[in-house]
Parts: sequence; C-alpha cells; structure tokens
Amino acid sequence: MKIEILYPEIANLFGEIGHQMFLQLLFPKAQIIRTQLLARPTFLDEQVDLIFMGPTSENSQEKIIQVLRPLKEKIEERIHAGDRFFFTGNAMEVLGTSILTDEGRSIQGLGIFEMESRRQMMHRLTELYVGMYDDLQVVGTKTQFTQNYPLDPETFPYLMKTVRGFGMNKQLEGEGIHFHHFVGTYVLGPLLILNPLFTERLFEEWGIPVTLPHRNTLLEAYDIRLKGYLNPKSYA
Amino acid sequence: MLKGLHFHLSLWYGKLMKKILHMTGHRATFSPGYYALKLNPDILLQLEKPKHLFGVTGTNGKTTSSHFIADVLKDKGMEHIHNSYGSNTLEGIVSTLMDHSSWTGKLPYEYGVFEIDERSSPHVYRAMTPEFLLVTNLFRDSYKRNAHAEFIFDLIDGHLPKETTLILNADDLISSRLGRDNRHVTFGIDPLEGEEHLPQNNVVDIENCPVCDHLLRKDFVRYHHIGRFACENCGYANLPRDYAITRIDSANHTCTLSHRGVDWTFTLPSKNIVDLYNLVSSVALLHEAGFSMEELQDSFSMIKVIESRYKEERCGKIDVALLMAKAINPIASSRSFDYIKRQTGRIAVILGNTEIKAGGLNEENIAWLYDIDFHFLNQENIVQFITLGKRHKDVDVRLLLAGVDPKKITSFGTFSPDIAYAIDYENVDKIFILNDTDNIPEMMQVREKVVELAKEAQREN
Repeated sequence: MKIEILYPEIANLFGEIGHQMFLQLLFPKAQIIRTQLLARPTFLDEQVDLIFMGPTSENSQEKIIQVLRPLKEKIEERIHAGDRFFFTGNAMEVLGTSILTDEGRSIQGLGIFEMESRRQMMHRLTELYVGMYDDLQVVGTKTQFTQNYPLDPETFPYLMKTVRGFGMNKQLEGEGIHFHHFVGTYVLGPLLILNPLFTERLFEEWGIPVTLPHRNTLLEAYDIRLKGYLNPKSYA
Repeated sequence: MLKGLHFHLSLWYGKLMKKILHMTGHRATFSPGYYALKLNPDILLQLEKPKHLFGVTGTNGKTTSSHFIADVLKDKGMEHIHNSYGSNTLEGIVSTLMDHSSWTGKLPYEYGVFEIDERSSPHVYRAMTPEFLLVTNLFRDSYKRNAHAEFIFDLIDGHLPKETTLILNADDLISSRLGRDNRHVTFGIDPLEGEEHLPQNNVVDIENCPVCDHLLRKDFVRYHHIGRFACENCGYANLPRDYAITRIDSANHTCTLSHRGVDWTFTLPSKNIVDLYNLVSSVALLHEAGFSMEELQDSFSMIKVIESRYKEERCGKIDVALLMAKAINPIASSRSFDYIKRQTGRIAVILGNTEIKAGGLNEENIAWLYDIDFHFLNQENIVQFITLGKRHKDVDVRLLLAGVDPKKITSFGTFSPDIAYAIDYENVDKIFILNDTDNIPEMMQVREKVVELAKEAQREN
C-alpha cells in the first residue's frame, strides 16, 4: 500500500494535518510518500493507492497550479483510470477551470473539472455543514474564502447533497466532487475522522475496506455532533 | 485643534453608552466604541492619541507583552492608558481612547499601550500610527477569523504606517519579514544551554523558502517555525537578533539579555519559554523608546505573569496549576502541552480549553484539535485526563488517536466544578487545569474545587 500526500508542507491548513495522521493510523503498514512542492508527484510514474491533498493558502495554491499545469494530461489520465484521490478544501480548485480573484484576475487552473472558483478575501465563509452521501448524514464545517461555480451545475458530479449549510456555492445544494474514484470536498473536520460511517463506506467503495481505530468513541462523538449541527439555531 | 460637532456627538454618545452599560453591570470594553463608530466611522482618526503610542500585535503573547510594557510604565510613574481589560479590536481601542478622553476630547496621557488584534490592522493603522509596534509572532490561529498566517501577514504588511518602528521576532521567519521598508529592531532567544532541537510539532507554518520554495534547512527548532532556518539553495536565513536572551540561570531565577555586546541580568517572569520572548520583546521596545537597561532591569524584577494565564498553588504535596491554553488557537494549546510534557511526577490534566459561548448553541469547529500536539501528552507520567464541555467526546477521540490509553480518560459534557471529584488525588503530584479566555470564571471555579479537594486529601493522609 502506498499513500502519497501532495505538498504536506504547505497544503495542511484547517486541521487537515489530522487526515495525514489518520491515514497513517488506518494503514499502519502503508508507505507514506510526502511530496514537496518542487518534487515530481510519485503517482505520475508508479502505482499509488491513494493520493491526498489538503487546503493551502492562496499564494501556495497558485504555486501548486504552476507546478502541476505541465502535468495536467497525466493527472487527468490517472483520474479517468480510477486512481483514488482525496482532495479537501481549496485543493480541488486547482483542478478547476479557473480561480477568479477579488481584483478580477483570472488564474487558470488545470481544467480537469469544469468549475470556476471565486475568491473574496475580505468575506470569509464559515458554516456548519450537514450533507447526505447516499443515505448517510455527513457532518463538518466550512471555512473558506471561495465559492465554486460548476459551469454546468445540472450535470456536475457532486459528492453530497446539502442538508445544512451551503453546497459548492450559496445557491447550490450539490457539494464536492465524486468522479470515478476522485473525491473532493470543501467540508472540513477532518471529514474522515468526524464521519466514521462515511469513512467505512467510502473505503469500501474504493475497494480497500478499513477497520476504524476507536470506532465506538468516534461514533459517540459523531452522534453528539450531528444532533448539535441539525439544531437550526446552532452556529459555528 | 477644534473638532466638529459630529466628533463631539459621537464621543459623548460613546461615553454615555459606557456609563449606561456600567450601570447595567457590563464591562463595556467593546460596545461604546462599536456605537461611536456606527455614528462616526472616522472617530479613531479624530480622537486625540497619547504622544508615545506603543502597539503590540501578533498571534501569541500580545496580552502578556502589553501588560509587561504597561507595568513598566506604571512602575516608572508614567501616566499611560492601556486596553488591558478590553477588547483589542478597533472597537476596543476606540472604547479605551474615549474612556480616557475628557468630554471635550482632550487626552492628557503621554503614553498609550495598545494590544492590537491582527484582523483589525487595516482600520487601526489607517487612523493611528504607533511610534513602535511589537509583533510577537505570526502563526495560524482561529480558522474562522484569521484563516491562515499568510493572510494575516498580508493584512498587517499592507497597512503598516511607514513611520512606525517595528520590533520584530528574529526567530520567526514569517513575522520578521513584515515592513521591509520600515525601520526595525529584532529580538530573540539564542539556543540555550541544554535546550533540545525539537522538530516535533504538527504545525510548521513555514517550511519552504519564501524566496525560492526549496525546503528550508532546520538548524535549530525551538517550537513550530520558531528557531533558526536557512535555505541551501538561495542562502535565505533568519535576521540576526539585536536583543537576545543568551542564558538562563534557573537556580537564581534570572536570565542574561545581550544587547550590543553588553550582558544584562533580568529576573525571569515565569518558567515558561514563551514568557522569555515576551520579556525580551518588551525590553527591546522600551529600550528603543528611551528607557535605560538599568531602569528596565529594576522594573522587570517585580513583574509577574497575569493570573488568568498561569496560577499555581501548592496544596500539601500536590501542585495545582491553572494554565491558559486558548481555545481555537492550536499553537497556544501546543505550547501549554509542551510545558506539561516537561514536568515530572504523576500528572492529571483537565482539558477545559474548549470554546464555550453563552446560550450553548455554539458548535465548535473541532478541526483545530488536529493541529495541536496531543502526542506531547501521551507519556507514562500523565496518568489522568479529564475532558469537558460539549465537545468532550471529540477531545476523547483526539486523545485516543494520539495514542493515549482509554483507561486514563474520563469525560464530562459540562464545566461543573463537581468534575473535580473525578481526580484520583492519592495518585497525582500535579494537576493542570487548562482554560480558555472565554471560560475563565468557569475554570476558576473548577480550580477552587480542585484545590479544596486536594487539600482535603492531604489532610486525610
């Protein structure tokens, strides 16, 4: 088992270090590859079982786009081939068509997913989130500067349907990306720790079933959180 | 200067609001400024300022450092104002200035010490120019308010008045890059005798060279990104320190502070290394402002860290310590965990540092727990963990994922003082009670109960 963490030295904001740690606990025997910004990603040249990237600063996001842009075709090929990707927060924006800044500057993304992210640096969005992944209730929080606009919202391959909070943007119920084995989401938590049932389901669908450490305590925490988040008067 | 009716109306409105709020039992450190700003958004620009304006900003250490500076001014008999018990936002600063202004808008104070919230930088620096601005450090903080360290860096850097002299932390590669066109002096702490190089933190807010993006070489890591780093590709490295603590004498409770080749002995304000940074940075600012090192040595010999940040009491054979570990701020909590990790004896830790808000409807984003170095607490001599508040099960999960034995954990959904009964007083030497800034009264009550039970247990023995 090989897990590649893309740019862990910069793509680690908003508690997503927890995912790096949790993946190691889920797969204690896995080889963890930590790829630095200037290094070529391993998954482009050899079989990697899961590729993870977390949220990053806006400046770093542009640097990541710059280093990945020449590799676009190969990355797209790996996504279509069914490689497992898990991108959280603004990581998935890198793969979109473009990112529009406050000043009206358009940063070209890799264009693998047809969506535009729009940044508002003085308008930070923070919300509690509950969404449905099939029949499972998924909880987390959103904390971001961007809203995301799929170019064709009707056919976009969303990950979840929003029950509380907002989806890709304030007008959309659909949240995240689920395309082949690529999973991307703005919902933070860390998502896999906050949602034990979702985690079991996702890894089963990915063909690598997991045994969760401390499953009962994870579920107890999830139950308390879900109840609180579903209270419409509660806030982040 | 004659000021217009609009200014005076807003000043009077703010001052009246303060009186009304006081009468209804409120501290009114934020609201008078809020209301005055509603009436007059330019009021901070128009309010008189003290002749010497000292600002303190940064992620951690603002409150302690600004208290140190104000305590020295007080000790030297200097008339000063300080937003000590108030808000450090724009509204809090306006409230403090209005509170000390006369009804005609006169401000008869020579010195002003202002703790300045980083997020308020654009509004504050537009309207006032600190003579000196101490930037303690920059780390990630509340995800909701501060997003990330680069965002805060840009916010401060983009609004710094060019006339301000910056007092910068040379051991911090992020904040020390602020205001490259401003005059600046630096402070820091040399690697101390016996101090370990400790690259063990979950969070390191800068790992790549800010110039060329190559991975930085870690020459000495004190904690997180505080230390000495260098880029092997382009040669980028930390600034040299103008004021440096070079030695600690624990037996005599003193340290050596070196400036321009001369060594000065200062009394240690506490046992915690972060307070050494607060000491050296405050000395740097005050010395640059004209106070002699002899004067500062004298004043700092009497200065103590404020009680809500650290309060220790010996109860027979048990030490009970209340230790600030600010909720939502992963670095502050990691610093407190690091302090606990270094203690000897059997330890119980009460984790009361989760966010608590009136009404109980606040659902804390618990992601910050995963930035904290919980692995520091996974050691044999820490024998008991008590988790509190609405997110107690989430804290349990975090402890378990850090490898803590489940048998050591007891959790409660409340902050009731009765949780003190859960401690096994027969088998602990030290009890650390971690609190947040927002739950000091609740955690003080827990502390009182713990102290009472610890004393009882000692008497029975």
